[in-house]
Amino acid sequence: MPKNDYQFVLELFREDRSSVGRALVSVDWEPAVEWAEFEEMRHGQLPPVFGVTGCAVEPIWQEEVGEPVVKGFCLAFSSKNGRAANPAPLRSQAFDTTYFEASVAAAYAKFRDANVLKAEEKVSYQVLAFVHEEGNQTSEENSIFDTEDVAQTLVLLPSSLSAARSVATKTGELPEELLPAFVPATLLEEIAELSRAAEAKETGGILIGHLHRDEDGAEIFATVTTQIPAQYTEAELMKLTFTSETWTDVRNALQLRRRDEIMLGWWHSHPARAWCKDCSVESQRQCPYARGFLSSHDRGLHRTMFSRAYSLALVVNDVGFAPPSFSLFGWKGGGIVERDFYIVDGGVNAEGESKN
Amino acid sequence: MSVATVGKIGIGLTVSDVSGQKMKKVNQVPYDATIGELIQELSAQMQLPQNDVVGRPLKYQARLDREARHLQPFERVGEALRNGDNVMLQPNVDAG
Repeated sequence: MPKNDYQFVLELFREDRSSVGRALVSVDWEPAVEWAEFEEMRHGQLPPVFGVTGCAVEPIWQEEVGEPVVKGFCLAFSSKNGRAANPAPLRSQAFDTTYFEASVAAAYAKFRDANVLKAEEKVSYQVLAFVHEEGNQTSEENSIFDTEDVAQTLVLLPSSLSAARSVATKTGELPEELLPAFVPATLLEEIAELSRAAEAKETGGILIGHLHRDEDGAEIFATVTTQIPAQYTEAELMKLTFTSETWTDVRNALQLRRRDEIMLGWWHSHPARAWCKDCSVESQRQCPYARGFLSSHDRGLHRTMFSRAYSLALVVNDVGFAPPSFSLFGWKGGGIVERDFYIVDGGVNAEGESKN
Repeated sequence: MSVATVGKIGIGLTVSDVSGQKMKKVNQVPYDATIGELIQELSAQMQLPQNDVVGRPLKYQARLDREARHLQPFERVGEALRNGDNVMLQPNVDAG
């Protein structure tokens, strides 16, 4: 948890700019911290080791109005052991106030439920930050247990990104800032078959593979080698529960493979052909369920289990009017976005290298 | 002398998430602490969400690989764990 000397507050305004009121913000900083720390690792500003870097939240004040109105925040990283080569904190790129949108929704609901806002009433908001008068203790400082982080080195295989790209097909225009991700075509076929076999129930699994450091540059990229089907799940038409036993089984499978793979993410199916079976084909083509999306539960699972910034979520859209399609999601700026990826023809070997 | 009065010396553990990439060393866990208390404290410290998207508490289980079993929340640390044990926090979590 980052050190945070500030209490962030939302102020909501009606369309006529009258104030609706203020609400304290309970911010989940973890996705921002994960994103910013990994970005610094990607660009060689931090070593690829988790658990050795301290972090603090710093508001960025809006220039015109000044304190306490913020236009965003950044995260300042410093070595926990005080032996950093550069004692000055390393500041992340700025996060803008869209990071607080989940809090805005919660504040909106609170004011609506209190009849301060009408249903569907449009609002705007600003974010304020005030220094904690009594200081802010982290969960570590409040804990009844004496704990310390254990340094976790991110294993990066030295590999050639250009060689990986040369045998892969990009699914679209991949923004430069996102981690390149490679998925074997054979794996997509396997996932499509598993989805079809599950018929009117969702199914899923865990994507495993490696992270690499490009030998010709500094970029980190991910190669998915295969998937481990999620066992011991509870599957329904529109829900898939990954149980504690599911995770035990996946870890056992990873150990049995003995290929030093890590969990890179997860996949699950959206059996839209079953969801939309009573609709016409034309309606199905227009239906938002026919396109790849992550539900709020999917996003919650990704946050809970796969908060590392390199983590991926693959959705197979099993529609009734066309072959299954795939959508890949990942972290960007502390949020989860749909993103493009590379499909590797002919599959990859255990090290994530193309078999071609 | 009962286990509960052994005092604050306790045992040392490591607690990790499912992926094994978030790990905490916990020093001197009191013998009379419950597994439920351990789960609650460590899941918060490891920045694991405490509630699901509709606000229901997320249920984490503690898995002890040494015995290949899930620990029960009411079990006492001093009775269930040994010094140096590794406990993994594993949730039941929904996709939709």
